[in-house]
Amino acid sequence: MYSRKNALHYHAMVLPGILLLLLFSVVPIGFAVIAFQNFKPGRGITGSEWVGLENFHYLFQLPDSRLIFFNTIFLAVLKIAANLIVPLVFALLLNEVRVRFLRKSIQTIVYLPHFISWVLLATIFFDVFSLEGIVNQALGLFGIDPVLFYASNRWFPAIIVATDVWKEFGFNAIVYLAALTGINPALYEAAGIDGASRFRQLWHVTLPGVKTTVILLATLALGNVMNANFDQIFNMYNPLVYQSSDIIDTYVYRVGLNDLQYSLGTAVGLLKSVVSFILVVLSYVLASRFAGYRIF
Amino acid sequence: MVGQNSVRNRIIDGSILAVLFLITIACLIPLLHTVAVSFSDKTAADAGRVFLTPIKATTASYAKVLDDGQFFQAFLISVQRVLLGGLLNFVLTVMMAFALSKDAKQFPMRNVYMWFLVFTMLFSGGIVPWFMTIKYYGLLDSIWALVLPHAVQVFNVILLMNFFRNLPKELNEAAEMDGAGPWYVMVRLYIPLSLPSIATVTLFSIVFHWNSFFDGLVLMSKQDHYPLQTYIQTLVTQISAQAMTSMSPEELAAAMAVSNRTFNAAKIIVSMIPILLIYPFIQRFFIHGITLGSVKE
Amino acid sequence: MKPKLWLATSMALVMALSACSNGGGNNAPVNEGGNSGNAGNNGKAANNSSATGEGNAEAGAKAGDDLAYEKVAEPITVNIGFRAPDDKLPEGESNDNNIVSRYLESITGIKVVHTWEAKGEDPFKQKVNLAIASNDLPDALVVDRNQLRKLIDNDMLEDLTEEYEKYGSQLVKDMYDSTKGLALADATVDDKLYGLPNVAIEADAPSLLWIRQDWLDKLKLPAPKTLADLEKIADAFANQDPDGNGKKDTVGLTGDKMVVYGQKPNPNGFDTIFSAFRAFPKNWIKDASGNVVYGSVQPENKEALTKLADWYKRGLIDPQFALYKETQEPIVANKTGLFFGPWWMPYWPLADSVVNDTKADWKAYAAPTDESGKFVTHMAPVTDRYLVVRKGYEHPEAVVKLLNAFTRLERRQDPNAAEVKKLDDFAAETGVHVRNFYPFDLLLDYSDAVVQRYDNVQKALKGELDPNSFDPDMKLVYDYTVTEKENPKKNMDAWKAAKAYELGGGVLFGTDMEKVYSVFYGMTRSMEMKWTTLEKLENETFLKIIVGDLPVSAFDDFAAQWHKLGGDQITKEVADIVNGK
Repeated sequence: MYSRKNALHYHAMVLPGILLLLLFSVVPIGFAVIAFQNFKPGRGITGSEWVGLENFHYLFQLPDSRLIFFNTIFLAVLKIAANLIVPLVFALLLNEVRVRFLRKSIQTIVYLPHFISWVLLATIFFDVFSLEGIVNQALGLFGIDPVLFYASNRWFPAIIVATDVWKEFGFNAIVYLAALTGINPALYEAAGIDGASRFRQLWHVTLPGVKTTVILLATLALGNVMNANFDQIFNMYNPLVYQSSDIIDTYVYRVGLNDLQYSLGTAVGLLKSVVSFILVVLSYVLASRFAGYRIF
Repeated sequence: MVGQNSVRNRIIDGSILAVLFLITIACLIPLLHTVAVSFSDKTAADAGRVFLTPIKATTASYAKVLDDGQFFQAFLISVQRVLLGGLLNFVLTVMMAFALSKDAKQFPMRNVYMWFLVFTMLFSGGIVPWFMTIKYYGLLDSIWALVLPHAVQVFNVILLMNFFRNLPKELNEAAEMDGAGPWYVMVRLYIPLSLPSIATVTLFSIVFHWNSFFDGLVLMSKQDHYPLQTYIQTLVTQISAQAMTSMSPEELAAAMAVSNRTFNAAKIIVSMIPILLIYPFIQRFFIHGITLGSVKE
Repeated sequence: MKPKLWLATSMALVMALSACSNGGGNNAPVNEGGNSGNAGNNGKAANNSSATGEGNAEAGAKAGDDLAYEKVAEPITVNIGFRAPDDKLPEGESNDNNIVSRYLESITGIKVVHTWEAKGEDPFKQKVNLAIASNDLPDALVVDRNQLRKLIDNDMLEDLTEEYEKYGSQLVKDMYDSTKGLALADATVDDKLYGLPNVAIEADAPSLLWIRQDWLDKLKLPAPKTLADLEKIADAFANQDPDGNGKKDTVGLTGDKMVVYGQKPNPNGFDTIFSAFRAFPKNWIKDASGNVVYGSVQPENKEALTKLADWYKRGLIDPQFALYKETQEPIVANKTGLFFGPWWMPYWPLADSVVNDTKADWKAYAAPTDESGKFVTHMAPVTDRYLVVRKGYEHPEAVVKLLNAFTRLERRQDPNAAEVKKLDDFAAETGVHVRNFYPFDLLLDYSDAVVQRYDNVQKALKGELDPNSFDPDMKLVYDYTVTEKENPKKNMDAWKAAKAYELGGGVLFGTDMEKVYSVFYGMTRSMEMKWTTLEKLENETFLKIIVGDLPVSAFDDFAAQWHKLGGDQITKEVADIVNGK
């Protein structure tokens, strides 16, 4: 059903956005060549010395580079997984609630933590996990000795992931809820008449209805595989748990703050971009091959 | 058998509600804590003595946040930003999502555009190049610097495009048989049928514009041009350890006098309120299956 | 709000005062300073006659100062990056057009335009960094040490050597001279002066021991002197329920996750414990044989770490000290009665502690001492901010002239009495700090001002000096001290100022301490690449040893590794710079 005239209209719909992206996204990416320079602001891009991959080299030969790369990816992957699954489960549960007032209230409340900044949450969680905090008091009831969670490299990553999920699941659930809204009620009616149990309805109607959304979000989330959330970790960590929670961003922040190393910062950004691009493309290919679903 | 089923259903309903209730409480407590802190006396809050009820209740922190005309000026700029940015996002997102929801047979260049979008979403040049670019366009210190660079939210486009693609194709074909052009199909068919998803991406875009503070800080030259979140951030900026050692004692004392939990909490509450007010309106579109049921298949 | 400047004015006056009373002044090479300081003390009575007096003071200085304060012939515009204050100006006034800016423009003929403004430490820093990165500096602005280095490296700054020599006022030069050339040397590379530095207060460096005297008395413990005393007190505070509530909810000594601050300490640094062992971590010092060495890798640190690790293990140090997001929490919450901090602790965080528990009675001690009974402390750099001029700006002298003008005003040596009175009245009426609207946030100070100030307030209290001769700011602190004496802990603003000077300033004044100066504060080439790694290694090792994650012997591994990972090279570079290349 190809119509040349329609295609022309489609071009017209896309072009304004493409133009703006060219101006505000692509042009700055061009400037990112300073990642391959020893960039001297006084001399500009044309006058600065080209150093090839030296900045990347530096990044990889840092004594801590293996640790911070590992921490970054480890934490990010855990978060990606948890942030996909928890909101989905929550949305499915909420979808089962028939009382509209309750549904709306719950939905409103759980998305509120998204708006509280990590600066403040960090202090709240510190109290929660402190020696005298709720968690340790609860453990005390079972006769367990208090644990310094914030100083423990075993517990701290778990706390990082859990608090992140807690903050974002309500907001992340919004997409799923929109997708659930789009499922044809007639399908449920049909299933109901067939006598399908609620669990079977969930399995045969609801889940297929949101499958594409899950695949879509999972693929897009892979773009974050190198972003373990600077804001959160920066506000919550301390030197005792650097070993388990120092990530690329926090590390570079400390380096960059001391030395104004523009090229290094840009190199890190570029590296992260390349990795996420590769992963997203990979998962796109996988999704279209195995689930038969083309995301883009 | 029907009875058995309904008993089971009720048990399931009950346990689901119980779980959701617990989750809700877990989300509510820190929030109530924030409210309590925002209304508490500074020293009590700093000592960590406030839990869910304010101690020595005071509105001092709010007075400080709302202190002068600049708050409302910043508020207006934020509203302006959300309106401009939200509208621009809405128009561009819907247009792009619609065109890109066509397959490559109907829109031959589609895949090229699509990968271009994905590329721009995942690559960034970093803050310095971004700043230089906007300076080069002469947009510094203008509201457009806050709006234009974020005019296309690729994530939202992809999201909405996927929702559009789930609409039945026959719809489109039938309309085109009747001689309707793409613009007509988009406005009269796709948009009304996708209100929940459009509401979702619009919410994302409003929240994004409302919450952004960093670009305001970097791109605006005068405080009078700061949007609300930027203004609120500069009322008290987080004092880093590095800053602490370079500040003079009295500067630090002054900064600390205001940089306390009560003030931070009040800032958060104040900046959340507008979003809270908007949400119920947007939520209306999430009511189960509003129009979709009638047309799908 | 920058009370620092407020303090400085008063300090200038104290200086001037002592110059008068001592008939010369012992620290500031003032020639006409005594004269003009006098004019300032007499407040508004001083008028044009004092200006004449100043002008005639010395033939040599006359030409210099005439040039320094001369209004420029042709109007000049200078574009600056402005650090916006919190002060609320009245309707109609703005950051770049207000009574202060108009006055300065009227006497200098220089129009100051704000290319951009930023409020607060971090936003300002952010803006400066971006300006540097995009090579888009305003004509003049204030930068920090790292930014200065970057700017010099990139050849983006104008050489100010000649302009400073020619246009710098005697007052400004005197104050730089009071640092024995250290301040200017800090901004000089290859004999070229690239920035006009501030002069910081020396009193900020020593970290004193602050104790809840009421707890100490309750447990019948003597005032601390040695490490052993401190140990005993920490043990008692942690275990003997000093707050008397029947619960074990107090801790001993508190600390900070940075362990030591090294230069200007904040609350909870262990600096003083290290210096009691004659260890000076984070400072470049000369060892016994005169070689330049890095303080953190010297064997003395191991003794201090052994002690601290032992204390931590025995629960004498707050078990959660490394975890607090904000280091002052246990102090404010009155969980502790024992911590280290500089003289100004009453301003913050002690005021909050007292509000939460009015029984809290804090005292400062110069303790613990080293083996020979002497209180030892490292010192801080004399300068940390620099006024710089963009390379290629046509009128660098305008920047020097602005500095002259507002420094003279700040020191209350401005001869235009009528105008100064207007500014004073404006400040009194609106609560706006005049100094916050100088174009540059750069304060020149005599470096030993705090103790001088303490001394003068005490003298006034004894009736040896007349407080009515104080200027308004100075009078305020005197009044606060009196208020606090009459009605203790009723007015917390009074408490803060009174106690900071009485306790902090008093101990500094009354203690004969050994001051160890770092020989180097900047960065070298190799540091640029390696310092972050070394510093991280250092910080983590120290912290982990104290909390017991690492044995004390790990210090030796750290020291060895430090040398291997570039420390040796850096030490050599630093030594080269210190020994004059």
